[in-house]
Amino acid sequence: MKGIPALMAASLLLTASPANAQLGSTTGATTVDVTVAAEAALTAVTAVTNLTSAGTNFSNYTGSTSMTYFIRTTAAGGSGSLTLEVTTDFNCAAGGPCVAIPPTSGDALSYTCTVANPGNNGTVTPCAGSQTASTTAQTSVATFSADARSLLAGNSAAVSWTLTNDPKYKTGIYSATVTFTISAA
Amino acid sequence: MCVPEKLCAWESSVVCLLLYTRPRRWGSSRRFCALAAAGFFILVLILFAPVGSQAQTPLGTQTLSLTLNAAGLLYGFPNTLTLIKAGTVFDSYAGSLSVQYRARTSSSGSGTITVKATTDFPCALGGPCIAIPPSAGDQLSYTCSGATLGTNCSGSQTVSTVAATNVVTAIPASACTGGGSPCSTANPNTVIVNFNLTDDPKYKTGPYSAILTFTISAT
Repeated sequence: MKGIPALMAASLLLTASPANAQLGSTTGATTVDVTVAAEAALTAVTAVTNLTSAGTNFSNYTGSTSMTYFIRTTAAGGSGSLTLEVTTDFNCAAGGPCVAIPPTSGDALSYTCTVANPGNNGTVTPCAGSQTASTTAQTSVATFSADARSLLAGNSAAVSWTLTNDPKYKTGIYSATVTFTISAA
Repeated sequence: MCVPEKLCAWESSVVCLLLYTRPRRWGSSRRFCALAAAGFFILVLILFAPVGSQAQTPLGTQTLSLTLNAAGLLYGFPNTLTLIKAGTVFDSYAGSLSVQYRARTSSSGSGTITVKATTDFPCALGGPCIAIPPSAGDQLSYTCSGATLGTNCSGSQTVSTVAATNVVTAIPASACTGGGSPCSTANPNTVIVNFNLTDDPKYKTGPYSAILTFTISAT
């Protein structure tokens, strides 16, 4: 007989569980989690930059490529970089300019950098002086400090190009593709 | 011990006929007494039997009255909703939540489900903040879809820390959950809430949490 109450209690527990599963409430709370990580992006990169020669004969070809960057680097110990690389060279075989193998020693596609500080926090260090673009390596446009945070609308960056106007170049139209890369950690 | 002699002092009684007038044919006095006692108890049972049958006599009708008030309940909330990057950098953080609910409205009533941020992200840490967006345009917003009872919230809504905003509106009068017409076929009813959080570069890196509280009401 002592087993009967225990059995009854067990039965009640078993029948109570499904009922509890149906219980609701007039309110329900959910915690929304988000992990904000380092990231970076470029937009509005000038699609085509024409290099032109102005002034005296054989003055260098110049032009400018602008863009908007967005960046967030890790608050502690983070960093970021903006680089460029010539991913498609001029048509060297056509007798015009050539980045990989300059027709004449001293011929170069070079650039200087103008990069606005991230608008919300941190600092940027634009490339120093004149840099020579390469087809084999990314070269620096800017580096970013830890906890660098741009504006929601982004911040500006620009590269001013200079291409040697070598008389050796055949007349014609020449194009190269430059790829910009921004990264954040 | 048997008492037929006393009982049969009144010789015309039925008991006497049963208990006393037949001892010579049935043998010993002891056997007589056993038979007499059995007969007596059978007689008692017969006499009381009609009393038992009277318990099944209808006593009248009773009216069972049940008043169902308007009510609404929410079910099965996940403890956490994680917003993640769906695509490109600085795209929004996004995540979806299924809200389960049951509702019953009165003939002239209605019902709604709302949401409110009852605990904001820790704004002071430099991450997202609902109450005071770090940049103009930053927001935790949501859209609603697939409400099986009532109407989805209209367009994109912005979560607030001070006011509840609609998730489901216009749960109609005389509505109820489950069982088919006139109630909904779905049981429980559901609505999908799709959240988006602006990915502002201004946010400091790190994990952030806020608490959203959903409330259902029905009249």
